[in-house]
Amino acid sequence: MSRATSIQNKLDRVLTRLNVTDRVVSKRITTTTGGDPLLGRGVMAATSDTTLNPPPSVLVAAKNYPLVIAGTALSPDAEYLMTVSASAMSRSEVADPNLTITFTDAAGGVEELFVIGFAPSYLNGVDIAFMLILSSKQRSV
Amino acid sequence: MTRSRDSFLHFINDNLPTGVVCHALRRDPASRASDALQMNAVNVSFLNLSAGDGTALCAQQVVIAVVADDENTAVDWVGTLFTLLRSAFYCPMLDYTVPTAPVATGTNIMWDRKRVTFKRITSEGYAHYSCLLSLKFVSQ
Repeated sequence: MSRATSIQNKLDRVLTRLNVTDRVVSKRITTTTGGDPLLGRGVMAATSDTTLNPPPSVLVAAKNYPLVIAGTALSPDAEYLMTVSASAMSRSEVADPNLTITFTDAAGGVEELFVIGFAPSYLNGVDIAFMLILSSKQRSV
Repeated sequence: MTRSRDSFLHFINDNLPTGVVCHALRRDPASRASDALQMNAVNVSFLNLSAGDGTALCAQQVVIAVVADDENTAVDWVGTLFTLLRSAFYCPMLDYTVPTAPVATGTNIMWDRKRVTFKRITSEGYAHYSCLLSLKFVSQ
């Protein structure tokens, strides 16, 4: 086992043991089929959510004024710093502009976030973890 | 209003040489990448617009941005677009509600071909030329 893999396994164990997020964190991949992609008309979009395993650690980086209306409530608009193991998300997924992150709380409320930047941690060319900068896209309660 | 956008987008896209990508910038929840300028592509985005009642001319500003990592390529594409937009001054407005079967509306989209100019946008790492046009048409 390489040293990078050993470190990543330790990180995964710590993240799993601590499970520091109070919401379920998933990656959402949107795929589109049919229609006219140039115009965006008649295009069918489907989303697929996969819970991140091990769970990442999430830190609120900034809380902005409520900007997004969801249902009858103004939703919070926030930015987060998230540390996710490379075994939960690959580098290509992290860099995919059509991939979003979702936070789901116990009441079923979902907050969807864009990845607006990321910084990898790696050893000997092997990705161990990523620090993601997330920005709220929308929240539905 | 979307008819004018759709029609002009296809006018540009369908008349570009093979291999030149036309990218429409727009907010699209199904395609986050549509939101950003695309490298090595002709990027088309729409700005201010005015709507009408079917009797008066309406206006729709459009920005055509050529972005390429090779300046010679960018200049070639600018030349192609310049020729296209100067040789024609209108294109038919179609209804793309069903994209595979666009329907003619019987009206055209026009622009002032004498005002077709590309400005150089200072950018690091790539060549960027931008053309702002005002499209005129009758809204239905």
